[in-house]
Amino acid sequence: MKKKKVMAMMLSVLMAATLMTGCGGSDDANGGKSKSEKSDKGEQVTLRFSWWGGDERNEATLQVIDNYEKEHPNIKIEPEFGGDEGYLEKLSTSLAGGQAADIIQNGTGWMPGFVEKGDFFVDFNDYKDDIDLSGFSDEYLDNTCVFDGKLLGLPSGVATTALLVNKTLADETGIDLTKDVTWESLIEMGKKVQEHDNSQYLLNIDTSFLVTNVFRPYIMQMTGKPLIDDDTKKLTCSEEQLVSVLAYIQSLYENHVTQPAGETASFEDALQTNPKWINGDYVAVMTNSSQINNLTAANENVEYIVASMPEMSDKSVQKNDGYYANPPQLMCVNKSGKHVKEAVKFLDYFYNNEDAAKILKDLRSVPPTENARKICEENGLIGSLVTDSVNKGLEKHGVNEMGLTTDSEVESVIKTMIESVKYGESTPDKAASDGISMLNNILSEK
Amino acid sequence: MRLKKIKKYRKKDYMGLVYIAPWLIGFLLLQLYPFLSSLYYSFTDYQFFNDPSWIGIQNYKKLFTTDPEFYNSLKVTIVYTLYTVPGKLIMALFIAVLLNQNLKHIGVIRTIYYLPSLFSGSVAVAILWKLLFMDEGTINSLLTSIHLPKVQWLGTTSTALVTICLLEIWQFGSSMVMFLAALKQVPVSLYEAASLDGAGAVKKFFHITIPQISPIIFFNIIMQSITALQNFTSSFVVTGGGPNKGTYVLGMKLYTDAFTYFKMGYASATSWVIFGMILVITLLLFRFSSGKVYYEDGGDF
Amino acid sequence: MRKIKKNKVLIYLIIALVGVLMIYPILWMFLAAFKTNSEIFGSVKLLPGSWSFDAFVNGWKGTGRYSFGKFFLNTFAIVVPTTLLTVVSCMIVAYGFARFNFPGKKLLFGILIATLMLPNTVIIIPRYTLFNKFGWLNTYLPFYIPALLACYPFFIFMLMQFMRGIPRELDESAYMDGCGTLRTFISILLPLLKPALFSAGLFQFLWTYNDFFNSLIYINSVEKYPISLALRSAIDAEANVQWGQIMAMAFISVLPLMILFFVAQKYFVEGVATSGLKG
Repeated sequence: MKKKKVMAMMLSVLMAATLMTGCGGSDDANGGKSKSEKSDKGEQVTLRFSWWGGDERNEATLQVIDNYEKEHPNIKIEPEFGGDEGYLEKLSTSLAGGQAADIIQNGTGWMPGFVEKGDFFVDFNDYKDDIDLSGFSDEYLDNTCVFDGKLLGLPSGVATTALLVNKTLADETGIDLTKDVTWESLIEMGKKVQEHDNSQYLLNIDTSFLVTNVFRPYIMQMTGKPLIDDDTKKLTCSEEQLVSVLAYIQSLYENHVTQPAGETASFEDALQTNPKWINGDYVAVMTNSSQINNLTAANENVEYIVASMPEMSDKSVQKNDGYYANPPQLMCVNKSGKHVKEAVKFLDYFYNNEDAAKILKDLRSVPPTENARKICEENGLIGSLVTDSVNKGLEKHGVNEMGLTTDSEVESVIKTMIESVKYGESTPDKAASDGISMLNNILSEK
Repeated sequence: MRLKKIKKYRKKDYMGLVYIAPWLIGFLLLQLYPFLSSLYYSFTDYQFFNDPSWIGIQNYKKLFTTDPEFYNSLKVTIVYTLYTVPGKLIMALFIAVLLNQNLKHIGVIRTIYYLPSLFSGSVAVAILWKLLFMDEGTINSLLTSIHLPKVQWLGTTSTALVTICLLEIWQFGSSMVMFLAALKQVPVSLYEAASLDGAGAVKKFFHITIPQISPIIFFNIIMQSITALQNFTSSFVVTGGGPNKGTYVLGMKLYTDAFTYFKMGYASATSWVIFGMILVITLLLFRFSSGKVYYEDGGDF
Repeated sequence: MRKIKKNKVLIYLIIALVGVLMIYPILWMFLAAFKTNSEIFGSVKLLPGSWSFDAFVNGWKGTGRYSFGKFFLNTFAIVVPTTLLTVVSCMIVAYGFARFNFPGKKLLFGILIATLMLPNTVIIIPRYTLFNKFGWLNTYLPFYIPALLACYPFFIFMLMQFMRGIPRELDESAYMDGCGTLRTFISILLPLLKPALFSAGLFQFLWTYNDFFNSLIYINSVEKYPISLALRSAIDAEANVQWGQIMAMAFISVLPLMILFFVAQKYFVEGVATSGLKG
């Protein structure tokens, strides 16, 4: 620890010296919103940037990194990317040991948990000179990234849950997903697809998306609230309601709306790698607007549309439509990193630089800053599917669930409940009661 | 001529302490201290970023009463151990006995059989295993080619555990080598005498072979059980603890609780349960073997 | 006579069959590196359709900024010092226990034996917090220091057993010549210990090389990843995994072990055989 302090002191003295000598120099002739200063003191700075994503997103991000490095030859950014499986464990371990990357793509739902555990991330309000936040909507920031008055992350986009439809197959099988969708109609449609051809299914889905696109909205529609109340730290739903949502999920498998659980275990968190999706044997897929590109890229031979997310057929008992727009990820800066200022400046470039906006386009869903959105729209870079799904989400009135509901331990319990029902190893009743017991355990410690 | 007088060195026994000093430091700092600390942590609510605060037996209570995951992991771990330890040792013994005839090319054979043991704990091989047992993997292809049905090795809870056990049993080579060496030490005269008394192969095996190599069998059972109860890598890489936590061994639960959720206190309690199991099994085995394990020199050091 | 022959044939058959089972996965891994994804799945054919080294070349490039060359270097940077430190420290400690009768020896020896069965899981969490306090996380020190401090009772014990087989008269004659304990050790015992040291080194090399759990929790930045962590990240890509490349890298990663084994077979086998037996 002492070593770090000495290093930090040395760095700040160095930086102060740089500023003083470089002060009278040229203003950044960029004209854009980027405030990156050409630091030419030759002080080699290495930043680590960690994120997860599919191929397209990874390549685009790498390109932005390359461009930035070209403009700032003394800054080297080491990319650390992969899939999202195990990302949370890696992030947790590295934060715990003070060894996390400098720039971190973080899970929106994980933030509250991290914030509660410690002071890991930089408050961007303290770095207003290094990053221009004017392009972000204050309301959006307040709702999603501000904790106790501190702006601890920046949204990577505006995203929402999405039901992507292979329209070509839908037409072939006589499924109409252009109308409103209800939970019950999903089952009916599932049966219809199977009757048409029992090697084809309606819905490509995995446990993760069962949590975000079925379980949580279903509960919110019944109770009008997120699963867990952050203030009381208690469940907002009753055991019967929990049983009913698990019974619904079980019925999805019993009615062959989707493939049997065992067959899809290896495609968890990678729905686009399922051969049935690639070969166009699934009518639709539950996903997030930020991943639509992954899915359409896997099979480019068909036409796609975005459907409405399911709601209850009896609207009189529905307390809330259950959907809302949210950042698909948050970008954070590691507070204990050695080059916090440089890291923040990179994010300034990432969000505000025009070229960056064009490269990153909609690979993390609709861009979060006004300028980036304008640039992408002018250049036709945001796919219509992504825009459609986000617009649909923006029209909804769901309550933002970020908090205990999205806590990683809670999510793990929800997944356990879903999996035990999905694999037919437990009845909805038993799964629900086990789940409640586990949740109470966890909540009592929060 | 002057004779140089050579002084004999008088060995001071306390020098031994100097020589074992590194170990002593290592033991105190990196073994005893963590050992006692984890016991302490298990009685606290230690979440890594706060200071440990004493909560008595709450963690253990939670483990044994309100955490359904624990009993599942316990069951999975015990089943895993019960499959792999006997599985490995029976294979090892069986093959060792077979090889203990005067066969040709025994060196090559021993090499081939030992090879898989080289990869004990290897991620590369765990990935290989995952690939082989996937739904469209080679194992299923082989099954279908002989008109047997495909098995969802990694997709069904029960078979996933079998897959992991198979990986471990495949690596029986190191035990086999030990048994072979032990078999070679059994005096042939014993077998000859038994033959004279009219004993058949089976009788010889159970009444001579087994008792003679019982120390090695015993040693192996203990060491293999200790390793099996702490299994982590194969479950983590091949199945990720799934499906539906069907291969979620205690080692994985410990890792997740400690390093994903930072529940160090709770995870320490889990580690002490594992330790408790090891202790119990070791004591039981020692008890069981006291009459049965045959030491040639009477068993003292 | 006939019966014995038939038995022998049966035995050879069983051995051959099981032998195939032993080798098949590794052989498959090697050949898979030459196959395309579609050949890997859904096919019983062992041999690939074409023999291109693409998977090796592309897999070696790795992802991001680091090639597998870097990951290999990292692995060796961990394994080699750890092995050397282990052998040196354990042999010194074994000498202390084997040849000296210091006060408290029985007790300390008992402790040594007890730690043989100390499971890693029960000490890993406090070790982690301790190393964190020292600032050793994301370095290779959590590997080096336990090796330096002879925290491997298995090797100490193994070397001790071996030393007991060396007659004390040799020590005595060295003392007669005026050699101190260290001189005696280096000039008399060490040369005779070589096979055991070599075995110990091989095993520690093997175990450290294959380590995963410790690497997983202690090493955070990709730059420092050993092969085990790099391989594991390679399989959780979000897009289509190129299994041929992964198998290529997996095979290359086990190659050093296999080479080492074939070259030093005797020591492996002897080491395993004698570790369980007395002297």
